[in-house]
Amino acid sequence: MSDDKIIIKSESIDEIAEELEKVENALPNRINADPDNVEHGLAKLVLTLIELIRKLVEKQSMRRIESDSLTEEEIERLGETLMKLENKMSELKEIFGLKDEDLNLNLGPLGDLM
Amino acid sequence: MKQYKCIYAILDSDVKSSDHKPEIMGLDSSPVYFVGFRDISAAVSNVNRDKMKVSSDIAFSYEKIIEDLWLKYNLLPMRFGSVMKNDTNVIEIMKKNYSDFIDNLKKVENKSEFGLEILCDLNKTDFKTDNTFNLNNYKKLKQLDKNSVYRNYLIDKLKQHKSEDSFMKKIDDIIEEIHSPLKKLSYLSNVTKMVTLKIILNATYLVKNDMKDEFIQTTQQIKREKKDLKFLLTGPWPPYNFVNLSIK
Amino acid sequence: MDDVITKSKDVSLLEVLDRILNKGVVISGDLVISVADIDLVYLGLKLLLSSVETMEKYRGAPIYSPYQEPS
Repeated sequence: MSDDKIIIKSESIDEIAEELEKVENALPNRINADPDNVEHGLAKLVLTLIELIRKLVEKQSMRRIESDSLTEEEIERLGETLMKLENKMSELKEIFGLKDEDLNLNLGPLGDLM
Repeated sequence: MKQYKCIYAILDSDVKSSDHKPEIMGLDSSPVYFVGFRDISAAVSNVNRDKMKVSSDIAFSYEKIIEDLWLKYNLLPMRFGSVMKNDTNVIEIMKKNYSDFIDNLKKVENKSEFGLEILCDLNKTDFKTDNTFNLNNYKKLKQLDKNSVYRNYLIDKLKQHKSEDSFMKKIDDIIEEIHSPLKKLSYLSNVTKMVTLKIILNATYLVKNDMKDEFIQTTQQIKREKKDLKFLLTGPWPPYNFVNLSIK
Repeated sequence: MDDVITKSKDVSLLEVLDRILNKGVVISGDLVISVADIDLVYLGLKLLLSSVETMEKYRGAPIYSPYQEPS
């Protein structure tokens, strides 16, 4: 009955459903929030936010390198920091048993898209 | 079990329950009735608290109630779970937020919402981007010790980011080609880009009712032109995405 | 054939859920009845969720640019 809301749909609409579900599940909401799931939901939320920030920092760092406003030492230190941040993030994801898809940050062939 | 009042929508006329036959059935087998305040009213029904749980049946029922009301009245749909203790509280909500309600009712009058999602299959789509990375453009980075693990890490990251940048630019161009003509046909629009790697566009459009057909046809035309992309157009919906009211 | 119908329903359900759960007029405050204890956690997280949404919305714009992409 609600299908009459669909005006145009391409084939493989199930792909869209899967993608939409990923978005729904990325952050805790009322459907999934029961006491057993709350902790897991919180971990997901926190790590999603941290990963978002980390990617912003990474992006900003690339801009700085491109703008040629850093010294060689600064660039090397930046590389060290970014690498350590990324490794730490991988550790955290492993500890909480979360994959990139869980954090709604699909890493396709072109990598992340922040 | 204690009964509460579930509000479905705010309507832009003072509807009397007697005007509305046949009755619309609410979520908990009680009929929808109307609570008036000046020239607006709230569509309400009695519910048991435990009925306000989300399931696909309840979701579809809730939406259907709003749709049935929308056939007759200009309205502002309420988020699911708008439950009040009694009718007096319902009136108080309308009293406190009367002018916001009136403004929004005017905004959405005689208009419908359409939702558009565009999916891109990266494996199939030809996204040849200009991928030439020239390390000579980054002299200081280049000059770092070649054995430095940080240097190489950064070079990889730079390549990755440049690649993403040109990919994003391509996506931006495509989105502009799709959104621009649709924006012209709509009264208001919301656009979110790159919701996920695959969903490159998630947009909602508030379209005047006399423009609906043209809007749909234009979308179909765009879909024909963009053979690599997958489209999902839904609607016409009541204006859920255009009543961004958070009220107390 | 059944597959297509089921999958279509899923898309419809997701579209409906997005609207009735995430959109529409929101009432908060003393007058509204919480439908579950977990709502308290949900409301507290709302601020966080909105900031994530806002960040996501502007994902397309270059970080260094002071100009934000209009919706």
